Amino acid sequence: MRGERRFHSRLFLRGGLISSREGNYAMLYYLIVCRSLTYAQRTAAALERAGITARVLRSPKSISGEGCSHSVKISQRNLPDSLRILQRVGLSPKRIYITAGDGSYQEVAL
Amino acid sequence: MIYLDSAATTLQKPACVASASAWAINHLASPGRGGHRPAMAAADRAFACRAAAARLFHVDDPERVAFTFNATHGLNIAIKTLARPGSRVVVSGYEHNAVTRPLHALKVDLRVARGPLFDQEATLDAFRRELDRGADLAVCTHVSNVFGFILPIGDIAALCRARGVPLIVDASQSAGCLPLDFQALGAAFIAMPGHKGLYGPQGTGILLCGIDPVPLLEGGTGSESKRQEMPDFLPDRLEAGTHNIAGLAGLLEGLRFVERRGAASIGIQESELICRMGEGLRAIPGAEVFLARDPSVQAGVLSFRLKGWDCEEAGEELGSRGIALRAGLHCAPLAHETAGTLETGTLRASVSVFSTRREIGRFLQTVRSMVR
Repeated sequence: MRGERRFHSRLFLRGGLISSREGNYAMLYYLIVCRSLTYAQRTAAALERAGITARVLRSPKSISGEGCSHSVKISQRNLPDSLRILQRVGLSPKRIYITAGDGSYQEVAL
Repeated sequence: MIYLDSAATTLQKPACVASASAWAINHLASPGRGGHRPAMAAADRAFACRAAAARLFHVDDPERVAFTFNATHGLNIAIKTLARPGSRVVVSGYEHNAVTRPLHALKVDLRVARGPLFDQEATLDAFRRELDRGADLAVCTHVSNVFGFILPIGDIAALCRARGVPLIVDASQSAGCLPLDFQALGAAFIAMPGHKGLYGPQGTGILLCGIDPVPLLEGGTGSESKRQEMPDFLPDRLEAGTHNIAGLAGLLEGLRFVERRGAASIGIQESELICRMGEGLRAIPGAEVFLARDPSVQAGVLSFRLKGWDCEEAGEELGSRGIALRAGLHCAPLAHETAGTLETGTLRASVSVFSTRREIGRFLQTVRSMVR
């Protein structure tokens, strides 16, 4: 565990990581906001099939739009590939957000 | 007991169905209603169930697979989406009350495309005639729940497509027993139960949606919660309220079982048993059997009558001798009217993939001993 944290810290110094509010280090990631849980599951399944790690989670309240929604979390480095894959399989993202260092989210222009 | 009432509910299920449902009760929460592990595990299970159904019935998008409580629920959604008071609706002569009662309640102009039992050509001609007179909607069962008659659903769907008439298919007796291709049929909706040929638990059903449906229920969906209108996307539009996740966990195992065995292969096995049963009954004096000359037009359901016996009393007697089957009108008076059995009703025996030749033999022996 201690080793893992040191490893993350090293990456953080290169600019690839941010510190979360809990004090742990987390990678920068994108949230693909989906219209429904099933759509999010389809999106994640399509990405996983292509070898991209994708996790379905409930959208943070600040970005959930009309209320409850689900998002697919992907790492920063996978966004271009993910968009290509989703376009190929006809799954268009509703909105995409990137985490900001202060725990907020910024919408990414598609 | 010899169970021959699979047209109502398959009682013998693959062992994994019951264990999956039992496990789900204690381990799976509500899909879409939380980000915690039991909720997400439930969501994964529900999605796997949708995806399995989409594969089995050739639906390109799992979002078009909506969960219902049974086939009747799905048929009500489908019919109430497409029919209005006064709509001209063509149905086959073999429909269940799950179709005819919602249509009656809507006060539609009902047209019955009636053809003699086991005559696919005549049924198709009747549909052609009625559709050519003008129709707003067609509703057709794939297999009669009373007689096992396989209606020519592919040809009926082609007639509807050519005339731009939306088609609702009741696949209650065919899902899991006959190949069913949603894309090829081009139907507006296909409704089916989970607890018959798909070997899931009672309280499960599937509605395949080719068009956007009108919700039958409104309520929480775990999505777009600020809006007071139901979401305009599937499956949320049709799935208000908590899912029957224990049922869906079992249904998933049932779907996987059917996928492994193959619906066509299950259908052949059931048809072979029904032929054996029908021929055995025919050899019994006083038994009148509704058996197709061409076995390819009859699925795993068979009706018969016994001379000198009221069908309900005969059903009771068979029950007391360890044979479970169903007697009466089977909630399908229209089918009985078409076949001329409305006044008497029939005894109906129906098989599943777990029925055996030995059971059919013991059933025949019991019937023989009754009419002696």
